[in-house]
Amino acid sequence: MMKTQLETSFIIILIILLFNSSVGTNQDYKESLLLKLLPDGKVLAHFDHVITWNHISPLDMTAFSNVRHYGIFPRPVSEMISLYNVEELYLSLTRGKWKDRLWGYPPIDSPPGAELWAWFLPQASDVDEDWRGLLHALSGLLCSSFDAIDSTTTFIPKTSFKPTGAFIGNISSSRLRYTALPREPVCTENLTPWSKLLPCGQKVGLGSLYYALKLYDTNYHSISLKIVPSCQDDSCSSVGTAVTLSLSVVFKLPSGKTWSLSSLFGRHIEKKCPLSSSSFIYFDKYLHKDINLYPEPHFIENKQFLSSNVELSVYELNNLKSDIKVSLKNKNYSQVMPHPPSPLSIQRYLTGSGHGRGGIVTIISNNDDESLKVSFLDMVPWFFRILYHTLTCELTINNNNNNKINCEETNNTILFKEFSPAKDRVLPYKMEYIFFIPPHSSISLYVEFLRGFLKWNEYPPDASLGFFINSAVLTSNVYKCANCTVSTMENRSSFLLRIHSDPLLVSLPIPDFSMPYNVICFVSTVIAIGFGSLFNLTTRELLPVNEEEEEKKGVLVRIINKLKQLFLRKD
Amino acid sequence: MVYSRGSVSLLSIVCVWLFLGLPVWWKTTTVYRSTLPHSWITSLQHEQQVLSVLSCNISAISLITGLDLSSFIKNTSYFTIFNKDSVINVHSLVKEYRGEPLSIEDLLNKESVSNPVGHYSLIVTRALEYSTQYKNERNLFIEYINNTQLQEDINDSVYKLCGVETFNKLLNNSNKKESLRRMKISPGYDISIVVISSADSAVSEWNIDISTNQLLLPFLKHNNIKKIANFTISSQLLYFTDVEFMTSEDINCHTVSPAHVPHMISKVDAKLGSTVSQWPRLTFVVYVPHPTQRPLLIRNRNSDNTDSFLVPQWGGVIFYNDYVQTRENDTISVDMNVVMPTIVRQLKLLLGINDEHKSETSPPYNLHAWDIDHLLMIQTLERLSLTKVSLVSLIQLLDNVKNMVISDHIQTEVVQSLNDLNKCVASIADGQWSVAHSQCETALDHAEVAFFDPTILALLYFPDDQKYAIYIPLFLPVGFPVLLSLIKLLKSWRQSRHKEKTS
Repeated sequence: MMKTQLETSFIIILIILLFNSSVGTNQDYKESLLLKLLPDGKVLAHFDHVITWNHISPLDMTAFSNVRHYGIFPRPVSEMISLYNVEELYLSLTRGKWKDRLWGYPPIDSPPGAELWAWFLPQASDVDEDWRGLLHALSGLLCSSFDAIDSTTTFIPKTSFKPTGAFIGNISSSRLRYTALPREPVCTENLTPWSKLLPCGQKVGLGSLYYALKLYDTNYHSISLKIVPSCQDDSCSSVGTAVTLSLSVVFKLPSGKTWSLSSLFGRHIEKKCPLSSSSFIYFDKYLHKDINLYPEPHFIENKQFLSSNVELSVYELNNLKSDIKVSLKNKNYSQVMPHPPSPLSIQRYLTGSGHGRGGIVTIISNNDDESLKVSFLDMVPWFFRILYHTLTCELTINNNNNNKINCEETNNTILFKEFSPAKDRVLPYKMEYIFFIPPHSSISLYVEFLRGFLKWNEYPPDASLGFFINSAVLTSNVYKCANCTVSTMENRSSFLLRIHSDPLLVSLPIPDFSMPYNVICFVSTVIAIGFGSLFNLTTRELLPVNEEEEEKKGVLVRIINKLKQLFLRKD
Repeated sequence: MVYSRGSVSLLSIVCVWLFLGLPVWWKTTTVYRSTLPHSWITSLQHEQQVLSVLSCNISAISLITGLDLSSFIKNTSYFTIFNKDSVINVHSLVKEYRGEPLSIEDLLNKESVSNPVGHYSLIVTRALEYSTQYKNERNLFIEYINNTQLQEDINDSVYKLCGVETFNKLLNNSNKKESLRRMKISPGYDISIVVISSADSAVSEWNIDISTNQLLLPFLKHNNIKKIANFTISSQLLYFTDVEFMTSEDINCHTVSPAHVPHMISKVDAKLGSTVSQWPRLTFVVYVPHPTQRPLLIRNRNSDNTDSFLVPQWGGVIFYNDYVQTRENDTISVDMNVVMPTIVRQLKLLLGINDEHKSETSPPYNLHAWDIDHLLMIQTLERLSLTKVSLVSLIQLLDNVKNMVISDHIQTEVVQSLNDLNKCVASIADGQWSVAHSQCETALDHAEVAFFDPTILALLYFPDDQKYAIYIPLFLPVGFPVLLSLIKLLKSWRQSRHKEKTS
């Protein structure tokens, strides 16, 4: 009797142990949707899906044996991490342009097209080889053209793109690679494989709102994938891996005073994803005050974000029984409170005309009341030959055009600078600065370039479109930010603000692609004419015409000869 | 005969054309093609696809005093003919230990314990008490009862050891079902176990860890299996996959007809996503049906119901019906120990292991050494014929398409492949199968590298009309007057000769 009791209790313990080792406990999935009304009557919808594998860091993944149990963690992502020694990765695929001045800062700023950067683990012996493998894996995973990237479009930034997660070893930029593809078109073929990485897919939960027809009929659309080693506790004694899949989209509101979630997305949420430990919908009224929400929000959360306080109406997906309806009392957007100015902005444009020289002007302005330390990264392909001797940097203090000083003459404006020259078909140009910008001041950088020549087979099929210069990247740590979009997933006291300039589209001199054939035809004709006359001269003999033989010829020849004589006489 | 000034210059122009222009044109436009051992490869084509003679060496040992085995085994040294042109050559050798009765330990001390591949010992004893201990070596024990029974047993055993049935099944083209089921040959396989839940609740309890360690790994780490392939195992949970079945209700169960199964496979495949591995993937789907569809079974053509099916060269699907729903239908638990034996059985079939002991799906997996040996032999032969096929088709391709570039490294690959192929053939003839296995593997690798080399295709899509577009503007206006005057000259020559003759 005693023995059987012992046995059963042993079995129970065994079962408990067994279940503890199962997937349910060490993997976690959270999702959230933030809806924010923008001042010009548009609405931002930002989705975050965070899949966390507790206590398994990217380093642990590389040490996996032949037996791996992924559970709900996306297997392709984990395989990628372990095979290519990825420590941290950020990828975005964006269509459309985010309007900083009108909408404030986005939740995640990404340039048009594709952007990717990755930190590799210290154990990676050949980072370039891993990077190449990673690019191929990602282009397969997300149907993007990352596989076209080579050393001419890969950058190793020194001051930007610092790791954000629990990082192992010294931060040495030799383990960092950055690239961007401003040309990359983004569409459903990227969304479909991306949404396959979601544990609940597009069937239930927030993912069920992903209806491609509506999502791409918008002003701005961006999907991103982020892999970060995350601390499990405050002391960071144990590190896990967090994969964040985000989607941001800016809708134009449907006409009429009321709209609902389903009218916006063309779909509705049937039920919560059973795998998610938390799924919320946050509603940020932002500057609009006269708004009614139906049903009533489940609670109001006052989120402390940087120094400002954001009031969010929150719905819990579990208890949400009906569609969320939003009605505006007043549809006149001009009555909305004036938008606070962006603390930091970047502007870039081209100067010059023709196909020879050109210039790039970059204006970085600090509109804040405090000085800002800003790191600036500019990347130019090798075929725009940057003339570094023409580089000028001017500091405009208090936005007064009469108050312009050369940056080099001031003491502490430039804290760091580094230029690296390009190498034809191997390396691109890279310019890095750390500026210290006084309040209400701006820095303008001007540099000239010469347009280079490419080989005829290096031109893309649509060469007359022009060539892109990547967006310049500006990074700064800000402590207050009135027009940042609140992050629903984390609380932060300081905020790493990263903004991108517009990419520049420059036309290059394009050869006539049919020219080789034209040349061949032309030369052949010249040779044929030359050869023909030479041949005739050397082979033909000129003999006097015999009158008697002429008589023997036919009637037609005689008539022609008569006619000839007739015309000759007239002359 | 007097040559005119014109005809001399014409002839000299023609000479310049022929002796300078033509070679320069030929030299500048020829495609680089390094010489391949053409005759060597074409000779492969005429060789038989499967090696004609497979040798099988059996030494028969009797542990029973006074029993003369030579009278039994002599009868069985025969040729078994199958598949038109291949033959198993059985060499039998009777070893006798006279005198004191031998114990197994003594015998195994005297004999080498580990026979090489293709060499087996047939041991006749009175009792089978030791047989399990040495089962995994290449020894087969026969219990002696009486003479007629012994003759039958020996015949059966020789049949079994030499793999007559296995070779028949897997090499014979007429037996498509068996040979198509097997996975494509590869140095390794990725085993992926996927639980697809169609129930709306999450799988919270899943003992995949323990189950793989206890049931699957002992099989894959089995000494014999390791010789033929390497394995990785991964497992995944997938939800909301759109995998749905057209079911029809039956007494006590829901059934699916086999015709609906392919739709499911393509949906699962789409959901699995890309892999970074080079090895082929074996997918085993554990499908958890919706509570309203339980129990879900497949109805065979002969009206049998089953809960699992095998997809040739892909993997298997198992319906997991007996799950427990806990906490108000919130979560479900999946017990992999129930499912794993089926997975192991399906894995055996997909690898092509002769599964004699169908019941034995739990450790210790008593895989017979000879079953794996036969698989090793088949793999070797298959690699051998694949190498031949790819080399022959490469040479045929290069013969047919004249503007394919053959660079030097393709030549070295082809030569290396041929060398390895010859070594492999020699090793097979010697009966050294383990060596032959790796030699044929490298031969196939080299052949495939040569066949799939991207430089071959460099000029493949350079069409002929573009060539003419470039040649015509030059050659037509230049060549036309030359040809015409040449014809004229020839005519005048003939006329003058005619005149001379008549005069």
